[in-house]
Amino acid sequence: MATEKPHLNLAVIGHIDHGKSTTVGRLLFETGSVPPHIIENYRKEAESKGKGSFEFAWVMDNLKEERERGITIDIAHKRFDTDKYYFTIVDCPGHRDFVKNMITGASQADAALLVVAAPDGVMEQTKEHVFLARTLGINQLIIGINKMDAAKYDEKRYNEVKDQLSQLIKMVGYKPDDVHFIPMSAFKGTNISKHSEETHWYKGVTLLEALDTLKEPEKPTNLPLRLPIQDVYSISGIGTVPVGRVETGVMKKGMKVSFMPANKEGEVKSIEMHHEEQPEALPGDNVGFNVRGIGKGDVRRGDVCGPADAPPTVADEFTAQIVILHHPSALTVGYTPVFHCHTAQIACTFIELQKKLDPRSGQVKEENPTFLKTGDAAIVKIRPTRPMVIEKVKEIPQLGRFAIRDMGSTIAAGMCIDITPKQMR
Amino acid sequence: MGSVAIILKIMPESPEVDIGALKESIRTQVPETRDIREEPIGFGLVALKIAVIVPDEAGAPDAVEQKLRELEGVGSAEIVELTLT
Repeated sequence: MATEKPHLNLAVIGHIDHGKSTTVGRLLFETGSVPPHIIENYRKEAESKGKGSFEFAWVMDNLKEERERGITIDIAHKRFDTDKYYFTIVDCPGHRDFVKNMITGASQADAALLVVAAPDGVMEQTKEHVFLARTLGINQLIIGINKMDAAKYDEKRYNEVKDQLSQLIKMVGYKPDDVHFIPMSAFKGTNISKHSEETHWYKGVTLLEALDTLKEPEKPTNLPLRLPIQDVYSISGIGTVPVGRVETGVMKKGMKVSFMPANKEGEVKSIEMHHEEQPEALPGDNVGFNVRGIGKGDVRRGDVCGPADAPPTVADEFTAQIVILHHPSALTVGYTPVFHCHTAQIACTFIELQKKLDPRSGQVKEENPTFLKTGDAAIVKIRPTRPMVIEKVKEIPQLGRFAIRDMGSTIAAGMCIDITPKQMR
Repeated sequence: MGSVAIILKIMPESPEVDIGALKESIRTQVPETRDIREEPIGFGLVALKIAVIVPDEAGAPDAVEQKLRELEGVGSAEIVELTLT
């Protein structure tokens, strides 16, 4: 049965017009995931018009229309099966205002498929999305070098784009040798499910084969407990009940916990989920829990609950790698926008611009730059204006990423690479 | 531009909030709502998950979150999932 296969979340990323949606449509089509009545209608339509080449666009349009009409919570994501896995697709919106929601959202992508058009190569948004994928903690990457039909299936062009991309991904920490670069045409169906004659020089895997080489993610139960607080309730007859989603580790009944930066301790008296009492809560669980020793005013949204003997880290300052997605002018030392990190929203000041990075070479482009502008990637030092929990992305990735917002729009995304902790005791 | 399907999680202000009435006001105030489901948490608290379609453009996600936060009985509202349709 399809549902018994392991499940992976696949984020589809890439520059606008490089063929993301066509690639998603093609994946659904080739894996038999387009509803049969749409295929049937298409056949009729094709017969009456006597043409085959508009085929794909037609299927896509109808699929989109039907989805928008019938969307529910269960089928908000498109799904397809490979031999090994069952995938749901997060097709990333083009507008950067959605970036914050992808960083603070619930469903972590297990792998990313980066679509790059062969005629264009690396573009602005390609660069941006590679940074975002890394920032979102997506460690597995597949690259589709798309629109090979528009590049005459030229091996030389494929290699040029592959080289560009290798430089780019190396810089953020992906290993090009571990990544499949597939020359493909989503529009024509080249190297999606079958090897194609047009690219006889390519000896690697097809897209579907590449998807089956991905690894199933492990639940982060071995990390210390981190549960960012969403809301806090005072319930009569019970007491203080914080609510939130477990990001890492395990919360157990009877556990001594610490809330940071509130710096309060208590004992977990009971945990409930789906209106039932639970002995423990695991990563991904949305729970309410009652804590002995904590009053309603003691903790609030943005605090993080962790074990009393390994409490969440409160940063005095931290070093971050960021990418500027959009800034109307130039960003300099002293700039204090709002950082959105887990459930916290805290104004933080840029206190040092340490390095500007060159995405094409992977090298430091400038030491101590005087300003940063849209499209720049950089290493910077940040000081929160009030106590804030954040973790190094290498240690607890789920609590190490953030979005930066100012005047109602998303300015940048980043991850924390080092911390000067604040002594809380 | 495309459309984005978003799923939001809404928490009531307290366990006493009338969930039926809250659903009703969500449907009236946010007509783009396609689906609403209750997700029981515990201690009498029930979260609502709702599916909404918005355009892929500036300010779209904030606008929906903001509208929901202003409804009577809503404690918090935040986007938990999203994808292009």
